[in-house]
Amino acid sequence: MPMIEIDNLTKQFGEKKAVDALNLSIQEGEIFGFLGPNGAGKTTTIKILTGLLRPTSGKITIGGVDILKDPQSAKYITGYVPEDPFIYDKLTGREFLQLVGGLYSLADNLIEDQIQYWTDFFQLETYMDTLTESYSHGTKQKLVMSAALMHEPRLMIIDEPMVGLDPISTRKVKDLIKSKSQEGTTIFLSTHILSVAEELCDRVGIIHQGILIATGSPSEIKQMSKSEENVSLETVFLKLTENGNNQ
Amino acid sequence: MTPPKDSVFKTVMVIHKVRYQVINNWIKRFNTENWFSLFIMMALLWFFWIGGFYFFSFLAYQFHKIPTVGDMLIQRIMAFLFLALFLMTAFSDLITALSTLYLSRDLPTLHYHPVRPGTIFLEKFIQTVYYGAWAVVCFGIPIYFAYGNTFNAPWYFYPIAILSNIPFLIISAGIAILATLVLAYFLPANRARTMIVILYGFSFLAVIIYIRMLGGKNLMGSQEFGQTVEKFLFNLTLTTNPYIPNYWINQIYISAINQNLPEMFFYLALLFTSAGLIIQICWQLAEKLYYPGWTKTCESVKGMVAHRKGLWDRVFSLLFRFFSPPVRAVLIKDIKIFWRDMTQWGQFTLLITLVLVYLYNTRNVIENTGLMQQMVFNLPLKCLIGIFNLSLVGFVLANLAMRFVFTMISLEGRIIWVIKSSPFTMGRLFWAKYGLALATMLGVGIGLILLANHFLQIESFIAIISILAVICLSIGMTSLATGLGAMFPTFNVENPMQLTTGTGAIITVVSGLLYLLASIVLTAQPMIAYFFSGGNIMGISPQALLIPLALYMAMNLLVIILPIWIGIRRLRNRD
Repeated sequence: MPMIEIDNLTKQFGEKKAVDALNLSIQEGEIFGFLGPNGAGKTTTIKILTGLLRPTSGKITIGGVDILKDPQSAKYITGYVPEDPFIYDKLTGREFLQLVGGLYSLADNLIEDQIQYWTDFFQLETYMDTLTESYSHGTKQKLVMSAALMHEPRLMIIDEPMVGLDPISTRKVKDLIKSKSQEGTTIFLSTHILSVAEELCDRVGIIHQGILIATGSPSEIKQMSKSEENVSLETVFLKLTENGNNQ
Repeated sequence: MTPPKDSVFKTVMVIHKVRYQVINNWIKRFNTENWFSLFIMMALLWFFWIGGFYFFSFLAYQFHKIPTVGDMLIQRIMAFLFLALFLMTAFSDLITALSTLYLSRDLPTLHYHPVRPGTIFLEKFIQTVYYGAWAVVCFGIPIYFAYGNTFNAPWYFYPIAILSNIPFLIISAGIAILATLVLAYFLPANRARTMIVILYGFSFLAVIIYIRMLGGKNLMGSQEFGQTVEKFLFNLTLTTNPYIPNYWINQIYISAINQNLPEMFFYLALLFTSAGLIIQICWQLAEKLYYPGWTKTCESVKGMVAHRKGLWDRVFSLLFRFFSPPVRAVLIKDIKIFWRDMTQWGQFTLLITLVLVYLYNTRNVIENTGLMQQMVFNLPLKCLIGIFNLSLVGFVLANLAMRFVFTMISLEGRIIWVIKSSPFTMGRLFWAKYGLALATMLGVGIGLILLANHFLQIESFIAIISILAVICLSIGMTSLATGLGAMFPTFNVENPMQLTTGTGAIITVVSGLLYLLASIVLTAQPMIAYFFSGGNIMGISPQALLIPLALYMAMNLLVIILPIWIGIRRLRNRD
């Protein structure tokens, strides 16, 4: 059973179609990279997947659950890391994680265990009891990632996972994504850093002007450009989106 | 895997706990300066409560002395006060509800977690009630207690007086939230601006119908007025409809004073059950309407289109051509944002409308009844009206200062880095904001007092004093609010409504009201002396003019210089 099944998804803002008849199926344990230039419809798709926007038409199921019919069950198995997350400035990191644990109805002792685990993993010990207003962007990103992982989701939706992270943390997050995928967690990640997609993703999808113009493994996508053999994903991406613009 | 059945109450508490943790963290990190601010705030509040208690006790006692109808008059005035509070809170909650339920920055974080939208709604409902209620309860306390004291009320009057405000304010907030909920659902996406205009349009219409239905013809200037001010007030049937919450709360106060416990508990139960009912209705509707309405407000692709170089750009460029380019840029930006962000000026429009309604009605009273010749509390009514006009304009200025001027620097919010990283200093930012605020306050204040004096045919001596007083009040209020705004800036809030509930905001409101009260008392002295001298300026004793004038000047110097001086220093030294 696919973890994400998007069927003919369209989102219209007034006259403008931000997402146009998108069809996509992502399997359990797969790492899927969602690529596209600015304003292509990536964030809109992610917002619909996470219940922050409602589709104009189409159907989405997450783990077999229709997100429009039973959004709470769909959200319960999803962990979301937004690109620019909101964190209450006047809460400490620990208090923020306790809040999120409460929102997932986790037992208190489990919340504390999870906080300890992710604090150790991301080396957040020195920050956990200080207000989040003093955090750097990278620290905030680690905190939000911890929050998204606390309830051990079956699906992770990550918007720009590496923004603001130092090289050590970047490596750590990459390894985490890979290991989670091996454990069966599906990863849906949107990124501008094509080398990240190339390195991590089993499959990528390129969206442009709301239309999914290509899907496949990074090597399959490269073949689509019909150019020389050792071409990078970036070159292919530019070529494909340029063609989209010309059309 | 399905989520566990969460108790709504438990989840609301999980989210609501954040508010207490924020306060707790704030207190835990208190330094000497914070303790000092808190001390000042508490001292001012105590001063306000005690001063207000004696002031309102004095007023109530003056009415109490009027034979036969005096006590009834107090009850009518209280009923009228509750009606005004009910309407003011409901209006203010329209904007608060829009802000907390649809625009708050923490909403996406809450919505992408597995929490029912109805649960999020309930938590935001509590927030909306709190934002709308705290000032009413806080500033109503001296009035309620003075009322009880005048009638030698039993001990339980005082806790009941405060307790009954809770369901009363929940009902007014509930009505506002219900309206916001329905409109957000039915209006097209990204129409917050339209929504506010419609909300206000409907609300004004509702108020007019409400007043008409409840015997508003007396208020609207009918010919059937009695021959005395007392009779006029006594005949006001506006507040005696038994189906409205302001009547119920008034009955609670009256029955508590009369020690009529069955009636007191009956009306208390009526208020609480009605509040419960309105929460239930809102919640049930929210389960259907809230989430679709919220997602609509998130759709921001089609934003407002502004002309690249419109007429107003040219007007402002011309108007501010004497300022340096950076100051000009900040001024134009502030005006544009103020104009485009209607959430900021909704309640202010209401206040101005109420002042205009007052002027229109009072003029009718004067024209139709000749009441201006009446004596009230041994003073001619026209003298009292002169003082009342000044108080009213002062109150509008205080509201303007609190809502807009105090928040001006904080509203720079996360964009403050643009200013800080530019060659534009924080000191210049302060003065740019101060200049803009002062021009607005002077414009509104002088405009209103001129209109009031003209409309109500106020004598020229009183008119001149009141204009001078309004000029001083405008400068004083601007200095106080800008200075305190610079002393207590808050750049990171999840909701702009929070700006008006912090320590700095409370200090501004209380000190602003105390300043207003002192200004009125001091300005009233020459007005009263003028009437006692039979309208002969030369007949006024020099002491009656010079002593209040000296005190007035000293107070204004303090209010103008001190907050600005400290505010600029604090702003410059801020990291």
